[in-house]
Amino acid sequence: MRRTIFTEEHELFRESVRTFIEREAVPHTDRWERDGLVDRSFWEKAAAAGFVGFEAPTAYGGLGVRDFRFNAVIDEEMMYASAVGDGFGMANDIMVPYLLDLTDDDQKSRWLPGFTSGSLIAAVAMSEPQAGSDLRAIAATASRDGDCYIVNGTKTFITSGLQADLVVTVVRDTEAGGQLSLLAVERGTPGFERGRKLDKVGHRAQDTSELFYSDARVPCANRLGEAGKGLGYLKQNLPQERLSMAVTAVAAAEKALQITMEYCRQRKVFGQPVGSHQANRFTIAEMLAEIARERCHVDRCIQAHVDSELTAVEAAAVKLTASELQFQVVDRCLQLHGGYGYMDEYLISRLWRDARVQRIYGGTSEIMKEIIGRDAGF
Amino acid sequence: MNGSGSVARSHLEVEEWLRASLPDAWVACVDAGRSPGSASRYPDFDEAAWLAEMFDRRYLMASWPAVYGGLGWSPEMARAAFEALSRYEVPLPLYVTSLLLAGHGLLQHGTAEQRHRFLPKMATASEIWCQLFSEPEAGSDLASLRTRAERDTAGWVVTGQKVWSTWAHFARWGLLLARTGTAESRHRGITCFVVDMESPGIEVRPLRQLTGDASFNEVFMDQVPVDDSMRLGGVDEGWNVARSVLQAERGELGQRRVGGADIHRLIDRHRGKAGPEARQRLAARYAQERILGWMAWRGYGRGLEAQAVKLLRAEANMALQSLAVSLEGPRAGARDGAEAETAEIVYGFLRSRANSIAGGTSEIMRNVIGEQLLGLPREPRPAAGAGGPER
Ligand SMILES: Cc1cc2nc3c(=O)[nH]c(=O)nc-3n(C[C@H](O)[C@H](O)[C@H](O)COP(=O)(O)OP(=O)(O)OC[C@H]3O[C@@H](n4cnc5c(N)ncnc54)[C@H](O)[C@@H]3O)c2cc1C
Ligand SMILES: Cc1cc2nc3c(=O)[nH]c(=O)nc-3n(C[C@H](O)[C@H](O)[C@H](O)COP(=O)(O)OP(=O)(O)OC[C@H]3O[C@@H](n4cnc5c(N)ncnc54)[C@H](O)[C@@H]3O)c2cc1C
Repeated sequence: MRRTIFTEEHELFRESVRTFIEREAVPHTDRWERDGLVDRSFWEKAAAAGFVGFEAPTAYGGLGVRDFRFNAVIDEEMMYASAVGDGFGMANDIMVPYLLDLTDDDQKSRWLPGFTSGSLIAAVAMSEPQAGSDLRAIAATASRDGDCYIVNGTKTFITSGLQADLVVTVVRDTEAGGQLSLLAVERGTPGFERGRKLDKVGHRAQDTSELFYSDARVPCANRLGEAGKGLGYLKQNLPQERLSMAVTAVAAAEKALQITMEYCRQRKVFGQPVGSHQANRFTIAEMLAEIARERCHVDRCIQAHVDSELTAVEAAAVKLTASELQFQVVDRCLQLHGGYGYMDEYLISRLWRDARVQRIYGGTSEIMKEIIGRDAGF
Repeated sequence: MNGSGSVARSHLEVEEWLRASLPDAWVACVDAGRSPGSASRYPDFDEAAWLAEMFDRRYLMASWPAVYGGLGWSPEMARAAFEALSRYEVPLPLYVTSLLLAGHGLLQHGTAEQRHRFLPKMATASEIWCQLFSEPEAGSDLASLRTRAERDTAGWVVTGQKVWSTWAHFARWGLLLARTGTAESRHRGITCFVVDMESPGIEVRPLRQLTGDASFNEVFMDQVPVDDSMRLGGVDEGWNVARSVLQAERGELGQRRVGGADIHRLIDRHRGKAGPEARQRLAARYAQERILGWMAWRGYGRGLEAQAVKLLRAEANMALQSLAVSLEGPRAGARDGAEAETAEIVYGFLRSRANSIAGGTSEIMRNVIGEQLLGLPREPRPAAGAGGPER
């Protein structure tokens, strides 16, 4: 079905993103997976091409374009090319709202030029060993000492945790009566340490790590927005984060099905292609139909977000259905590959491993159901 | 020996030995109706020595005749022994399956000489076996295999390639299917051989699987000499051996979970913590696992019904491991998480993904159930000559 949300401008953008990924990311995929890290030089090239933080005003090195469809194009092309690394989703979909909407002019001029040139990698640290789904259980603290905050605590599962130069850290602010505040903690801050890189089931090219703060001194000038309003800011930004995951999810499902259909055409069993056995034909047909349905759902949400209409509940719903569908699709696709699907060197096995976390991060499927169910009054 | 008295005696014998040989804390868990968990939880337990003694006592191969290294127990007695082992959740290495299968093949189709030669060392696990059936172009459609065995003066010469051969990298012997008939002969032109894995011309290359480890392999055979005394069953009659071995394999796979945490262990892990939804899902899995356990103990799933039990077990275990990982939540995103148990659960989840593929895919199980067990119409076969039985 023809997609209706994009204009010619988006399609041109898509072309250049695709060419860029083919040239700069695809050839390095295996190495990045092996090393567990995406080269920083890739990131600088992507920024130079205008694909990082383009929503920032031109004065800070961006393009001043705030249109989530461009974000979606990049997320989709990464999946269609089976490139690895969560950098674009992190930077453009997750970090931009923090760095653009919650920063004052001084902070903007300190961080945005680096962010848009790819020399400053940003991360957000909410989760703690004892606080993930339940943000209210966050225990990291910040207390005032002159013009600094003294931060103590542990964060975990932090995407880009090793490479990040700036970590937006969610803390309990004793000054603000224990409410949450957001502090941007910079690389080199005394008392701020990184733990090991976590060995993950999937997304192996992405550095995900623990962060430790022991009496870390963070200037008050690094606080984002007002003290004690952190929870509100997080809630304000989570819908876009979830939408981004839904965009990635449906694109990943499309990609998995596409390579699986090729496989099912080529491989013969009992004298006919795998896909021509009726059971498999039906499996493929179901996936095509379900993906078409989810594609419409996601596109409608992208448009709603562009029109500033997407609600938190709608974002939770699309994250739930798209990520669950993604997993069901890659699982059936792996099955259609038979023994080859269980081999590390086949792309479908990576797509399967990478899919699992989509039902977890950004809020688990169970939490999405909580959000939707509570909103319905139950 | 037969009858229910001897069944009770065999059960008692095995149980007494288990109680004496396993750590007290382990036995206490079983008595309390809880899962003992994995052997690594008992630092003083010498798993290797325990396994050696278990093999020495032949409880796994209890139904084999004594002359071939078994105990000569009746099938009912052997099942009672197995039931005791299952109930105490003893650690059985995965290669047990490949031994039982090769043993089954030899007992059903081997000559007396072959049985004497191979079975006793199999019974004590002093020689490991692998299955050389699947090929790159012949998995579900096993009857299309192409590895050739040609006659020569001394016997046979085998050339071809096998794939997914579990344990081939440390197996002493392989059970091989090779084509001896014309290229189009399908299941009518296959012969089964025992291959010495140390023969010249054999090359074993490990394959990395989705779990990251390499327990299966590609096996390349170039002019590998095989004596005619190593032929199992008649020339061109290997399909009968293949069928009975595959049947036994499905029986085995229906008996035991391959990969991942056991339901009791999962319940222990979430006892006192599980919310209402998790409780519902755990309870549903518990019911399923109990039923499968009872079926295994009662020996259901022989003959064609083995495919039904294999299918159920595969899907149940994948659902169970999937639940285990869901309940771990984000911790399970990281394999080396702070806790060893999380890492084990994640590994089990990854490993269980093979359940609906290895030993015949779930689609093939459904086909066999539909066509052979239920007598429903066969799947339409398009090309002439492409038909014939499935794995
Ligand atoms: C690869 C990866 C990257 C990540 N990147 C980041 C990052 O960059 N920054 C960041 O801040 N975080 C990140 N996270 C963390 C992620 O967002 C959180 O872990 C998640 O939102 C909740 O984590 P938790 O450990 O508290 O889960 P828990 O709350 O312990 O959840 C355990 C289980 O209980 C269920 N559960 C919880 N509450 C309920 C309820 N009320 N009802 C029913 N079921 C419930 C959950 O669904 C889950 O199945 C990342 C995680 C991963 C795996
Ligand atoms: C962990 C693991 C261990 C293994 N160990 C061994 C071993 O030790 N020795 C050995 O010989 N083999 C072993 N195998 C191989 C295993 O038996 C095969 O992978 C399996 O039979 C499927 O064959 P295939 O991989 O060629 O898939 P294919 O046959 O190519 O199947 C591809 C897809 O088509 C489907 N399909 C095929 N035919 C039909 C049909 N008629 N109708 C509907 N759908 C159909 C399949 O279900 C599957 O989804 C192992 C496999 C795994 C994953």
